[in-house]
Amino acid sequence: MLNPADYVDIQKPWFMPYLGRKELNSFLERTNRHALGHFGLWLVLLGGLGYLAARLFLAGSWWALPAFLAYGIIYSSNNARWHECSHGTCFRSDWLNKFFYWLCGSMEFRDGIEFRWSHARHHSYTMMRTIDPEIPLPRPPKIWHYFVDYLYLRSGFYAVRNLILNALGIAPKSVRNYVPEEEFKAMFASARLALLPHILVAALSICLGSWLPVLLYGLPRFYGCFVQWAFNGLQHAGMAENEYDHRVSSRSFVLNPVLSFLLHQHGVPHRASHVPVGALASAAETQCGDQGRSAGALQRVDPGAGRMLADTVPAEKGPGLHHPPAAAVWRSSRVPAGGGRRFSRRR
Amino acid sequence: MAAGDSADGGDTVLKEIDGRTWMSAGSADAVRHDRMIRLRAGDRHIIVFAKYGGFCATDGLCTHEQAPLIDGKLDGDVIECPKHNARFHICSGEVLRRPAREDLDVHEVQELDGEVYVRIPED
Repeated sequence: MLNPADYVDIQKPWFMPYLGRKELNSFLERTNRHALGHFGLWLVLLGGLGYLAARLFLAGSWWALPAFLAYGIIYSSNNARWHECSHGTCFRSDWLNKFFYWLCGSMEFRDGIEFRWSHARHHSYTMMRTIDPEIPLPRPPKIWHYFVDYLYLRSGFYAVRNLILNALGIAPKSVRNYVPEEEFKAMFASARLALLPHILVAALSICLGSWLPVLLYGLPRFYGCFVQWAFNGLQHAGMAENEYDHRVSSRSFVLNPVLSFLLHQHGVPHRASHVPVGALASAAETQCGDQGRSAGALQRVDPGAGRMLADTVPAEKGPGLHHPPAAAVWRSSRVPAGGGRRFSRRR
Repeated sequence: MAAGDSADGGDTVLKEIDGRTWMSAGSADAVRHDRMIRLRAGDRHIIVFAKYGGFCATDGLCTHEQAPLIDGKLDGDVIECPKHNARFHICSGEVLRRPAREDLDVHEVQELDGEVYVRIPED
């Protein structure tokens, strides 16, 4: 397993926003009602669009194409739901978190145990080179990596490869970097459980001699993920590397109601991963608000989108810090000295 | 009685009970009101939880990466780490959710004359 202490100073404190206990508690309330509404609507849309696409496909109509496209976009919003369930913050009832974590993970060929450890590493060492396994566009950037993932081709290849290898009881080298060996057995079982629906769906496709089952489960992640990826990339791409401050390494952004149904805030989960999805927007506003004491990286999506690739392009080959210009300006103008508090990890 | 460290830098009252050193967590009513309160004994972080009219005390840092559990979410008998969402039972210290793999140390706690006292760990 890769030891982060070999690469960075693990004693160095991270910036933490100041939030009073009362204020923090106001964000931590979890209910099943909000999440069931969200997931209920999502499942209804999936069912409705899936039915429509299947009917049009079977009728041989070209209208099946836009129907599948809409279905794929809704299907691929599994990613945000899966992420929230991985933190256990979606539902108050943990069995619902676990069920949807499995379902949404399987939909994009991922098993829960591997992601839990990968994501814990990502939260501990966000945008730290070599250590963070989830940097979307590391410097120096390979732009084609970013663009092929609009069809989930690169990330999807590794996801499918890792899932199959894990299901076969072989932990890939990259996975060994962050998953403790004691967890391998659970990871292999989890991978088999995530792969099972795909095997059943593929078998059904073969039996029926039709593409329809795989077009409805598995493949939508490839043909429909472009909307999700356009915004997921924004969460970290172009932001500062090797910095102990999530305000300069993570980006939250304001989205309209339709897009926010498909995606979620991101800066807040990095600073307080126990804030449930329903409170993310208000937590982001509070952390960013005009109190000026604990500004979060809340940005409107349009300038963020424009800057992301430009910020990533300056190729810095050696280790060390990189401040994208926008983040540097924002940081100096918005974050007051001593505006937050810090905690350090003890080893 | 003697003075020690509290989490917030103020003095903490120490008391000898049955030849052992205990640290005051404040009045029982205050702990019940806040539901959890943080103490510090040297380098050691301790949290006292109010529960069923009684009290429990565990180490105050997550065993995964030492994030302060006082900033976590307390839900019934479970405290959730603010950093990676590991969960622990507040009285047994048992890990209930990964990524933490080690249980929290638990500490003796008692109520005496309306005050809550935690036995200071010997190490």
